[in-house]
Formats: sequence, C-alpha cells, structure tokens
Amino acid sequence: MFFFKDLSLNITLHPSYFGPRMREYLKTKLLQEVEGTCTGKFGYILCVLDCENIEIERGRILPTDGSAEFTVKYRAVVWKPFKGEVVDGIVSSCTNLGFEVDVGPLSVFVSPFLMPDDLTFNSGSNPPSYQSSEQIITKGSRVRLKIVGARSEVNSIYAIGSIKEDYLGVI
Amino acid sequence: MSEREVTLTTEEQREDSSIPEESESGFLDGRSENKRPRDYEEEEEDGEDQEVAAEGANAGKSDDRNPQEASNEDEDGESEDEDEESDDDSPRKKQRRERNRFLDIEAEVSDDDEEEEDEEDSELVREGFITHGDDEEEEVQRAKDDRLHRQLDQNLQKSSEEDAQKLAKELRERYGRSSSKQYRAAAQDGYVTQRFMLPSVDTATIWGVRCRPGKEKDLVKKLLKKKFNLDKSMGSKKLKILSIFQRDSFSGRIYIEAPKQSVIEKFCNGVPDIYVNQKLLIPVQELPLLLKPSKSDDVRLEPGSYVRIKRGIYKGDLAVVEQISDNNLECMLKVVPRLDYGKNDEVDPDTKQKKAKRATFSQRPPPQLFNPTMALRMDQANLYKRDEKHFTYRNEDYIDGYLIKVFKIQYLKSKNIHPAVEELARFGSKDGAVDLTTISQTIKKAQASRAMFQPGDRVEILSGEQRGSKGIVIRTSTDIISVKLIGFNAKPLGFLISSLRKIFEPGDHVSVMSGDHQGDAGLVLSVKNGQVTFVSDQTRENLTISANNLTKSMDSTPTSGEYALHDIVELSAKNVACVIQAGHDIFKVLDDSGKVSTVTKGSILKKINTSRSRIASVDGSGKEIKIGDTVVEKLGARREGQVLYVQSHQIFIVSKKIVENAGVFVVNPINVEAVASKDNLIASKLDLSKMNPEIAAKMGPPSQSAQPIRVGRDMALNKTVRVCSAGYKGQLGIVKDVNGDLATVELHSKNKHITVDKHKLMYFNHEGGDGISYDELVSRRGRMPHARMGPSYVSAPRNMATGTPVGTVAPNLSGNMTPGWNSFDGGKTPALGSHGAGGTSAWGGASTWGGQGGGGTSTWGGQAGNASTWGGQTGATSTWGGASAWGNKSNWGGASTWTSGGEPGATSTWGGGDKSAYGGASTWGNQGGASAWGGGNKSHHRQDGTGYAWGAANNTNQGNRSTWGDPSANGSGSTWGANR
Repeated sequence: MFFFKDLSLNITLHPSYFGPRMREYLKTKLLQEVEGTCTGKFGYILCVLDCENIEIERGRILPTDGSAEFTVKYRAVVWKPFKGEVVDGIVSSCTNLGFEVDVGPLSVFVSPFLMPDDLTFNSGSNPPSYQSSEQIITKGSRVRLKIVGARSEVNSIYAIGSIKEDYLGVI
Repeated sequence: MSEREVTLTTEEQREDSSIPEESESGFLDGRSENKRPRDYEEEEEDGEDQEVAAEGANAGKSDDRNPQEASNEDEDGESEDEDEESDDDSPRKKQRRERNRFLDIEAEVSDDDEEEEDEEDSELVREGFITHGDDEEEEVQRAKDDRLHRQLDQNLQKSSEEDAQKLAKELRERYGRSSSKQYRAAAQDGYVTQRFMLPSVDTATIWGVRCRPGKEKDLVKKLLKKKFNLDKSMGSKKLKILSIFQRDSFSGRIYIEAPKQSVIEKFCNGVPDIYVNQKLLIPVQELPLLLKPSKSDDVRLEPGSYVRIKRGIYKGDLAVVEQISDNNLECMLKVVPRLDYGKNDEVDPDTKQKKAKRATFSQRPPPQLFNPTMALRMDQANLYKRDEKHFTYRNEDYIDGYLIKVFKIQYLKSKNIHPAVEELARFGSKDGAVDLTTISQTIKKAQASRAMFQPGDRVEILSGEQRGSKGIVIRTSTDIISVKLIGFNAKPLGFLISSLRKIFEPGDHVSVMSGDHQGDAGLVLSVKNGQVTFVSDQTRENLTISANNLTKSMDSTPTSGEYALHDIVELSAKNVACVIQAGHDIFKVLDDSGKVSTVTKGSILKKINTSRSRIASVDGSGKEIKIGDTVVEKLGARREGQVLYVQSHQIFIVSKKIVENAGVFVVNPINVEAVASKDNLIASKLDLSKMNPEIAAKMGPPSQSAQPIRVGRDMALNKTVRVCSAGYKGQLGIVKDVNGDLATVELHSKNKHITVDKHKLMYFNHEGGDGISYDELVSRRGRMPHARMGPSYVSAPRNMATGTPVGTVAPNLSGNMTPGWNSFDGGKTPALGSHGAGGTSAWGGASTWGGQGGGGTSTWGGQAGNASTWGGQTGATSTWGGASAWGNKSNWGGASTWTSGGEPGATSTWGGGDKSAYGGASTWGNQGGASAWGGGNKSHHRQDGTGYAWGAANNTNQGNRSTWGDPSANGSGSTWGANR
C-alpha cells in the first residue's frame, strides 16, 4: 500500500561544502541517499515529494571534525507490502521450489504450496515453467498475487505470495 | 529396546486370559488383577487434580532415575556414574518413602501404557519366543500350541460354568484377601479404590533372587518352561509359584512370587545362573513400586541405530546395529576395529611362538578401519580372505574394514547416545560425507521432544472438554500451561503440555527452536496436521517441522551460534570454506574446491573477518578484485555476484540470483571480470574535490596532469646534454637513445656511451646557452630556448665553420648574451620585434637553418613555418622563400624587399644589406642594426669576418656580419657560415 510519509534524515556534511550552494547539495544528497531505499519499518521509499520545499534545519557543527549535521525533513511516497494485499508483478525466476515475482522493488516468492493444485512444475520446458490447463507461468509472465506473509529486515523486505485463490494468477 | 514381559502361563491363566500385558514388567499370573496398578489408575485419571498430576509426574521422573542408578550400580563395568551415585545415595531413601505416600500418583504415569500396548503386542510377536523358530521346532511348537489352546478353551468353558461365588471363594482361598470386608464390598460394586488393592501382609510374598546379570530374561523363560514341565510331571501336586518376572531397571535379580521360601528353593534347584541363596523378601510396601511401570526412555533398537558398547576394549565405542537376533538378546554390530595386528604380542621364549596378548581397555589400539595389508604383513596366519571386502582375522569378521561382531544387548548402551560427528564420520560413506538424517535420528536432544511454549503463543487444545478451541498462552510452568481461550472471558485455564499444539498460519514468520534445524527461520507456507512447512530464509528450501518445535519469530536473523550464513570460516590452516547453511551444531560449508561438506562447530577453527582482509586478486583482464567487488563470470552461466572472499587461486562469490548453495559459488579469478569495484566507489566518495559540486564547478574540466602523455620520439633524443650526476658530471654529449627514463649519451669527450637518467641531464641548445632540465624541455615541447632566435642559425654556421664541437664552443655561447639576443623574446630585435612576436617563433625554426650545413637555401625553403611567419609580416616571404636568393646576391636585393616590409628600422637595415651591402654588412649595422643590435654593432659589422659568432660578435665584432658579408659564402650558398 502506498503512503505519504513525513520522514527525516540526518546528513553530515564535510566543511568543504559549506558555501552558497550547500542547500542544493543537501537536497541532492538526500535524494541520492533516500530514494529507492527500503526500510523495514516504512517499506520502500519510492519518491521524495516537493524537492523544492524540503525543510533543512540549521546545521550543527560536530565538535570533533568540523563536519556539520543537518536534519532534513521531507515527505515521501512509501510503499509497504501488507499481508493480504493483492499486487501485480512480473515473474523473475522459476524453479521447482516455486517462482519469484518482482513487484516493483519487492520480490515475492510463491511456493507450490500456495499455487492451485493443478499447476505443476514443468522442468522440461524452456524456460522452466509452471503449467496447468489454464495458465502457464514462466519467467517474464505477468502475475497477480496475494501477499501472504512479509518479513521485514532492517533494510529489506521479503514476502511470500499466493495465487491459490480466485482471480489470482497469470493476467 | 523396550522392556519385555515374559508371562509365565500357568493353568490359572484361564482366569485372567483377558489380562492385557503390562507394558513394563513381565510377570506371570493374572490373578493379581486387583493389585494391578493400571486398574486404579484409569479410575483415578479424570478426577485427578491437575496440580497433583504435575507433581506426580515429577515424582515419577525422579523415580525413574533411581532404578537406573541402581542398575548402574549393578553393572560391573559401569563406573561412570559413581560420583553421581554417592551424591544421590541419601536422597534416594527419602524419595522411596515419598513414593509410598504418593502411590496413587505413580499410577498416573500409566497413560503411556495404553499407547504402548500395541507396540507391546507387536513386540511380543516379533520377539518370536513364542512361535518363531526353525521349521521343525515350529512344528513341535505348533502342536504344543494347539494343545495349549485347547486346554485353555476347556478351562475357559469350565470357568464360565463356575458361578461368581465359587470364583470368589477360590480367590479367597488363594489370596486370603477376600476376608477383608471392604474389599468384598468394593468388589461387588465393581469399584475398588486403590488403597484397598494394595498388597498386604497376607498376600503372597515376592522374593528377589540374585542371578547372573544379563541372564534375567533367559532365566524367566527357562523357569517358565520348567514350571510347565513340573506341572505336567507332578500332576495335581503343583508348586505354588504364582509369578516370575524381572525388571530391566534392576539387573541381576529376578522376582518370584510364591507363598513360601522353600517352594522357591525347590523350584530353582538345578537351574544355572540363579543364586537361590541370595534371595531377598521384598517388603510389602515396596511391592507396588516393583511393578510400577517406569517411564520408558528406552530407545528401540533397530538395524541402523547407534549404540555404545559397555565393556571390552571397545568400551565406549560407537557401533551401528547391523542385525538383531530373533530372541532380542544379541545383536550384530558394526564397529570400527581397534587392532594392533599382533604388534604387541608376547613371544613365548621357549616355543618362539607368539602368544596373542589380550588387549585391555587401558592399552587399546586406536580405532581404525581394518587394514588387510597390515594384517597380511604382520599376522598372516590368522588372516583369511573371504572375498574382496570380507576378511576373517583372528576369528572375527571384517567387512568393508569394519568389525562385524555379535554383542549381547545387555552390554550395549542404547539410551542417550550422542555420537560425536568424528565418530560418525568413521562410519560415514566412503567420501566422508555425513548423513544428516541419520544423525538427527540418533541425536535426540532432550528438549527436542519437549514442546516449549512461551507466553503469547497461539495454541490449540487437542484433548479434553475444550478440545478444538484456541487460545493464547498466558503463563507457562514445567508441565501446565495456562491458556486464555479466545472468545471466552473466563480466567485462563490450565492445560497439560501434551494436550496443546501451537498454531501457525501461512505467512507467519517462524523460527525453529530445537533439532537439526535449530535457529533456522522462515515464512510458513502451509500447515497440515501439526506439521508446518516453511520456506527457509537461509536456504530457500522447504522445511517441514512439527508445530511445537517452532516459535513465532520477530527478527529474521538466524540465532545459530557464532557462525552465520555466508561467513568465511577456516577449517584448517590452508582450508577455508563458506558457510552455506548454518544449523545449531552442524554447518554445511562450501570449500575452496567447490565441494559441499557438512562439518561440526568443533571442526571449524575460526571465522575469518573478511572486513579486515586485504587480500586481492587479479581478474582475467588484469584488474584487481577485492572483497566486496562485483564480478561476473566470463564464461558459462555468466553468474554475477559479489566477492565474499579471495583466496590465492579461488574466489568465493555470492549471488542473490542463485538458489543452490545459498547462492555461493567458487571460481578461479581468471575466469571472472570485475564489473564494479567497491573501492572505486569509496575512493570517489572520499575525493572531496569531486564530491563537492562547488569545487568541481570551479575546477572546470579536469586539467591535464603535470606529466602529459608523451607520444612519439622522446624529447631528449639527439639533444646536447651535460651530465649532472656523479661520475661523468659536467661532461657533454649527445643523447643517442632513450629508453624509459634512461638516456644513452654519447660523450663528446670520450668515444663512449653512457646511460644516465634523463632527468639528470641538462639540455642545451646546440650552440650552448642555458641548460634546461628535462621537465622544462618537455614543457617547451622540445624546443630549446635559444633556438627561437634568429641568431641561432647565425651561430650555427659559425660552429660549423670552425668545426669545433659545440661543447667546446660552449663557453663562447655566452657571447650570445647580446642584450637583444639574450632576452629570449626574439621580438626584441628591432627588425624582428617590429614584426611581432610571431616572427620570433618563426625564427626559432631558424635554428635548423643554422644547423644546415648545406645551402641555407634549402633550409629556408623547407621551413614553411618560417616562411609563413615572415610572410605574415611583410610579404617578403616570397623573398625568403626564395631563400635560394640568398645564394645569389640579387636575391639579397630581394631581401631589401623584406626590409621593405615597412618596418623602418629593419627595413633600412636589411635594405642596407642589399647586394652591395652584402658584403657591406655595414648596412645592417648602419641602421637596423643600430637600433636593435645595439649601437655597438655597427662598427663591428664592418669588421668583416672577424666575428666568430654573433655572440662573440657583440664584444668585438659582428662576426656574423662577416659571414653574411662574405660573398664567397653567399656564393656557395651552401651555408653562410659553412664557408667561413
């Protein structure tokens, strides 16, 4: 699910950056550091909004090395997968243990346990695929799935999905 | 092996033919129904308070230990627990007393009995002591069986005819117990409280008779037969033997129930291995204890299971059960032999014959697989070869290197075997791989079987009134878990651990609490019958584990010990490996040869801290590869991944896209190419000037470094140099060759080539002047300072004319110090100056001119650059271009044109220098010369030919002029100076 989220980041700046374009630099650095990353807590930070209106607080010089620390507050679009969420994705790999689906930045694993019973692994096909009379799932297939469980680590999320329900599977 | 019962069937059996076998104690006679613990247990069960039950179980547990210890005491060879025993001696008595107080509780344990009954039955059959045997025996047995059955049927019929009264009477006669009024009443009710069923002084007595340890079961069987035989032969006068049984927990003793001591003596007379004299009347209050089924922690022996040998030289050694004998008394084991091949045999001095020394435990050889070659060499006489893999040595069989020997089961330890992996490795398959599943079968951690519940766990109730309902664990104790049921506001209820099961749902993140996969974690895929299948975070494999061994986990990091997945560990000094599956004690590693093996924690020396490692290797194209770099295979699957570790010839790479071996593979660095270096990224980050946009903007395009890339000939080549370093310091020479930083210099002074660092040379113009260093030379792009000047060509001829080597002339070169000349700004020459600086450079070219021994003409012509320059000035170019004109005077006239360039000073000068003047350098001197060349020149000019060089000319004369002036020289055209 997508959210707007107000977040903040501490950026430490070397003294050589102190100058007229410091703010600009802080912004670029913020975007570089934040966009596209994943926090287990909030999910994937997809995009920082209002680049021009990023609030940069006054920096504080750190006593030891002269660097300054700035707290940058920004608003971002984050995406966090939830249990029960139905998402679309593209199959990225297919093995006998199941197939993995890229849902944007998240990779979701679908085990044979969570597939319809008639869907079986066909190792003979090239590339390997899961086949039933109705659908063929192979690398590159577009799949709709339901997230069954997600595990959040500090900087990554891993999820398993199910296509064992109506209207799920190849789209 | 579970304890077996041996039921001695006497004719009384008809009365209790329906008695189920008591699981634990083998005893004969069914009349003891009334004192059978089981009967009252069952009645007791439901009404029992939970707390008491818990306590009871505890008490039962402690009881379990005692018989075991007792058995230990009895074991001759068993010394391990000695200290423990001494500690426990005093509490034991106390516990016994306690037990008596808790008689009813002990009964509680019997839950297990029901479960084990089936097993028991099958075991009895399997045991085969009843029916199985050789065919002939079987025939006999069958006949006998038939007879027995018939007899039994008859008896049953008879008994059914008898009325209850008679039965009671008979019972009363036999036991004298029926005199108890309460008992009778109770019996009529069909309900007997436990207390009344306890044996009393009136009941028959049980004697514990000493026997040879290990023979107990044999003896019970023998005695059964004997009883049969006696009964047959004695007819109606039967010995009053009521039951015979043995307990596994009390070895070296069989128990005989008989009213009189004398009967026992009579009965046992003549039976070997029984020491009738050492018998003991079991006190009445201890009788129930004797029959109390101890909770069996026996491991059922079956082929393939592990045991330890209790005595002999193999004491303590691990063995694998190959086969179990039909009577369940012996089993064939596979042992790693301990052989010395007769090395330590004593030689009898008289007969010269070797006498095999009996190996003792204290001096036993190390375990090693049987080595036929050794045996053949050392002790051929005792060796027989059966086939390729089968040898008989000293009357023992060795197959595949293992000793195959029959051991008595009582000399084996089958409980709590914790085989070390080293031991297992000896039994492993040929390649030393250890089968994890076999280990797991044997290594049963105490807690593995015990479910562990934690507050907050979701559980389902499996039995009882609340069966099927779900709840959340509130509080846990050893056996009782209080569970708050979902949907009820009632206070938490207590449940036995055994009646609970954890609930998980697909998608839950769980981790394994015990067993082989301890520490593994993953997301649940499916739950079926209490078995949870989850996909492991580590290996991406599907694992199925019983629900009670799992717990919901918050953090996903596997909690296994000090080695985690993808750690690089050291297996030996030269052998490193990467952990690809981290278990509790057992790790799967991928070594540097790409082989996957299973190792224990103990065999890992240490973890290698890769963050500190600075080892680097080189990829196929010569780029450096370091830990953390991303590389891609050049060939094959083109697997891409990050370098985990670099060993000399192999690098460990982990790829997220590969499932097998947790994504780790090993390749030779030659076969990969670096894609991105971690260090590059870091380095660029650390470069502040690049990082800071402000600075970067100021810097503009990156400037060329100080050392421009030189292409083509080295600047130093063919330059006149003076050596600045020791040895030939100060000597002049010409650079003949340059190789890297080294220049080969041909000395002027000696006919010799020396090799000097080119930076340690001073470079001179051909005609001298200031030396410059190599760096300066390079920055000037090889042009020597003086060469820019027109005079260079003037001086050159002079040199040539004189033929003196430049070096020798060098001092004179200082003559160049003409104010005008000296200033490198050639433009200073009036004429030239007026023409503009551009001219200067052109003049620089002139040096070549000077160098030209041949007709200046050609030189001039060839020097397009010069021409243009000149041309740029006045259009006199043409004139100059026709340098040939120089050769002829008329042209010189042309020179006038040159002069005509419009620069008054120069013009006049040159103009003055027209043909006539040609000789008449005076012209030169006259005007232009005057201005630029210094007024002094004039006069000099006139002094023809006197001047050697311009430089020299300053002082004395315009030697140059003379040169110029010299008609003959002109005529020769070859060079001006040359002729001179």
